[in-house]
Amino acid sequence: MKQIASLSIILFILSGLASAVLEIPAGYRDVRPGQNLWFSTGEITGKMTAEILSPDGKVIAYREYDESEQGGLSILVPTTAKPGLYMLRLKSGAEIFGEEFNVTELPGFHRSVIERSLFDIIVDIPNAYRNIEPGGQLLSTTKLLNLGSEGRIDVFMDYWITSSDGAIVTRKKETVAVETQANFVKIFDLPAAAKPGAYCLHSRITYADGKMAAAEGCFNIVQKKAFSPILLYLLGGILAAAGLLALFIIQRPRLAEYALRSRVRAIIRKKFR
Amino acid sequence: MSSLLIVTSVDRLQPQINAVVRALNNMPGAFISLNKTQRSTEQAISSAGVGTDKIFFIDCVTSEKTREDVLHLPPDALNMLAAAIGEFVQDVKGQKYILVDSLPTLLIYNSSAKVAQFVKQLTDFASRPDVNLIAFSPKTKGEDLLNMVYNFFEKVEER
Repeated sequence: MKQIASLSIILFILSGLASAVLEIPAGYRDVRPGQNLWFSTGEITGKMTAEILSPDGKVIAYREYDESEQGGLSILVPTTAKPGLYMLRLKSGAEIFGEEFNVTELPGFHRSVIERSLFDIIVDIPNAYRNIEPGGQLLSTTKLLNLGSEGRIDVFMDYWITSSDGAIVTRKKETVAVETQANFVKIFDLPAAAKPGAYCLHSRITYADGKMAAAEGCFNIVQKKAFSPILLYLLGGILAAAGLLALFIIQRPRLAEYALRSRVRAIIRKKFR
Repeated sequence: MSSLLIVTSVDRLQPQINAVVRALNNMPGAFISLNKTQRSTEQAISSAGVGTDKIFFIDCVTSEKTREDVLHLPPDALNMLAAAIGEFVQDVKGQKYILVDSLPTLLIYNSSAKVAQFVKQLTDFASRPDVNLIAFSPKTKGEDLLNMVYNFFEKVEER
């Protein structure tokens, strides 16, 4: 136990932002031997490893992950694990993160709620966000419905946007708590360099022991509207006409006076010369 | 160079105008007709045996154009009236006169301040050595205006 405690301190010092990057949601902290331990991380770029350290500091489980595995991640707790306080240790490049969890023989309340849960997911992209210019923002709403159980459950959400050729443009991950239903509004900043075309937003929920539900909504990235030359000419024409009209209105008395003087000159020429 | 304001009774107004035009008969003149149409003014002058060949009429009574050599201007267009007279003063060489047949009539269409300003413009024209200004005012009309413009004229005569 002492070893675990000292290891926790070392990992905390090493990781710094460990709690922000590695999270074992509260409902998943009690695990029975032979079950998966579920947790979430920031986006995985490159190789990442997870280890379970027993109370006496021994590595009793090990698993590797790559970029293809996102959202909720799991590692199997060996059937031989005895009840106690264990440590999940993550290594990603030079960074190490750690979180504690319990191995227990009795299924906790949370665990049974999680195991009975059954989620449906609905993604909607409002009409106003169906056509977006590169560098713009996509707004989407995600509705989660728990049809299987009542009670607060932490679920792993994974969102990613793909172009028509399947390339991932952007990705977001989060862990959210849901009772019977929840609605989320998500805003995604689209890259300014994104090419015009059809894109899809994928949402996936991972919960309980690896249950999943997914949905998607599609939208278009459209070419930025160029200022039409015709419109430019039209605007220029209107401005010029307005300028001439204003000039005419301002100069009207002078024009009238000029015409009058010309008329007087003509009369004088005719009459006196 | 002179500016003269003649105040006279209504019944003596036309004979007085005839007498002045007769006296200036050899000189080109601009006649600003505010009291009668150009036609009836010309008839009245002609019937007194005075020639009207050298008179440039500015008719402020009617806008109906009857002759090419007559200018019709509304009596509220004082700026235009001043511009027309200014052009006359500038364009006609030698001695000339400006005659206004009834100064107070302008008060029907303009504020007294604007009329006073107009009269000042006329007297300014008359400050040239070759311009004579003669303005008439019937006795019964526009005493307030007369009080305002008396000082602009070199001479004020009651006839």
